[in-house]
Amino acid sequence: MLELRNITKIYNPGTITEMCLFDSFDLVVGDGEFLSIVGSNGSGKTSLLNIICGSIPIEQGEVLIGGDNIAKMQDYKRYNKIGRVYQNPAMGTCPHLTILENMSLADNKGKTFGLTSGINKSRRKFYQEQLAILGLGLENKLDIKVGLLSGGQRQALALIMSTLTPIEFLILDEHTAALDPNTAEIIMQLTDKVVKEKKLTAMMVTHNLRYAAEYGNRLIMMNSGEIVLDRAGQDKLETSIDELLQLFNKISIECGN
Amino acid sequence: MNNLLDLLISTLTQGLVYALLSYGVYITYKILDFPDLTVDGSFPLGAAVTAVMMTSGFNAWLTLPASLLAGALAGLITGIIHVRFKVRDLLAGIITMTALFSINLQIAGSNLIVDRNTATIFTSPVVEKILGSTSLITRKLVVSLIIVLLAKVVLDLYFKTKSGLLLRAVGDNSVLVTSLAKDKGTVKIIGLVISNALVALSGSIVCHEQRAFSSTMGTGQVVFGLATVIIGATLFQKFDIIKGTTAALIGSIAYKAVMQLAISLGLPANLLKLITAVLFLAILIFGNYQKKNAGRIIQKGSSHA
Ligand SMILES: Nc1ncnc2c1ncn2[C@@H]1O[C@H](COP(=O)(O)OP(=O)(O)OP(=O)(O)O)[C@@H](O)[C@H]1O
Ligand SMILES: [Mg+2]
Repeated sequence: MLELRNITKIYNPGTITEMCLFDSFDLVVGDGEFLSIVGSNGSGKTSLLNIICGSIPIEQGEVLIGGDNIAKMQDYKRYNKIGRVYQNPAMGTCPHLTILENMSLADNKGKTFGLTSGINKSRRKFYQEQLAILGLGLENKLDIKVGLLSGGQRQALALIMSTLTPIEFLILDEHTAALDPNTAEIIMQLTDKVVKEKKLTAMMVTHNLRYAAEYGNRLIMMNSGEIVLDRAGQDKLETSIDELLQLFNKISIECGN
Repeated sequence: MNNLLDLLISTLTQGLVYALLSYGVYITYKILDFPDLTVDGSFPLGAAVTAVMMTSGFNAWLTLPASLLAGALAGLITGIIHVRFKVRDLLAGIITMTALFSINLQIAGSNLIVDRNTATIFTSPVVEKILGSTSLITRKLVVSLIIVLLAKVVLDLYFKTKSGLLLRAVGDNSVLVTSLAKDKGTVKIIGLVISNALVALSGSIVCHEQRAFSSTMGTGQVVFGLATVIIGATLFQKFDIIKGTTAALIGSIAYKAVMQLAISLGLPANLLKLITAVLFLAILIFGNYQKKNAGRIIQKGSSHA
């Protein structure tokens, strides 16, 4: 279980640009929940994920995983349990390394990076199978530098890499935003499949209200650092895209956006 | 004719010996994306350690591991200053470099000459036995070549290990390293350690070659290293298969050849650094020009400390 308790996040504290984004923010995400997060630009979705992953400091509050407070734990240690795909396709892969090298790195997560061979030839087949699921032909390009791939291809690779080893949490930040509609659909279905198969707890930020409504078993909408809608189970199933859109517009108008 | 051959051989030897420094700069500048100025201090550090050991009667070969170790320590310090105390990369290097200047003076004074009777790695009994009657200049070439190629093979093998792969990843996209649950700071420190160990080794061999240490011998070595790495990269831009270490090696030889040519053509030694600066600028401009023409496809992932 993932729990955020009484979180305060202030950007640029003590300066004229000081901005309090979260004030006594609480959120509980149960094991196996697939939580979709929607909300207008600047509502704090990425910041929320950054707080969970330890990418940004918080002023106050607790981040609990399985009851342990990890608010002071360094970011990289948290990733033992977390896989993450970023909004920016460049963040999830190494451009100057080949697909094979990138996959090998991802495959070794959680183990030591010692003086044994970086690439395990016998895993080639396995990587190819994993990449073939994407249907992008990446399985035939193992020796190509990742920087030569398109943004969408890189993003797809990043998703495969982030879930290659056992993790508990999958954190996705608009991970389909850079993809064409077809690839986006494939990636969404793959995401859903991986989350179910590996029984992950997932948090997915998206601007695609249809994905938010269709996928996952819980949905929250955020607005300036607050949760303004939280639906799970049957309620979530009955939430239509139209209803989401109406609510989204209503909030936007109220806030003068 | 003989003179010319000697000149060629000694120029080549210079290029080889300094290639070790280029490997080091290749690791920090090209792989880690870290402009490391420690080099100006760790290069003479290797020479200082070597000169002192030789004049104190240590076996010549022992100076090599000792210099490696000393350089590694210098890299470790820069790494800790940068990673743990969050000092910017350039400044972290400058701090260590400045400190090393005094430390080198402490170790070996401002100048230290190794006398003619002391065996260097080039005149050591083992080398005498194997290379026998060949001239000193040939022996210098052969021994340097062996050391430099050995270092290259070891480095190339290292880059293929898991640790080496992680090192390459951290300069390419440090965010990914964090996602792999690894501390990117530690990986950077490892890179700086290896780099400066090589740089000090280069200083050590130069000391063997010249039989002398001078406290100012580090000045401009960073620029030399950067220039050679960039020459190498520019020359082989189109050849993806050429290894970075090979490019650095050839860059180093090319650089020393150009400098030797300039001297042979009567350029006053006082102007050498000026020529270095001009050459360096020319390489950078040429490199940028080529890049623009090629239309950069591969974009660097964000990499911050
Ligand atoms: N590093 C930062 N420094 C100062 N303010 C920041 C910083 N990062 C985010 N903010 C502010 O925090 C607020 C929330 O930003 P955040 O990136 O979390 O929004 P988001 O919901 O992810 O938006 P988007 O949908 O555009 O990705 C914004 O008002 C933004 O300006
Ligand atoms: Mg965002």
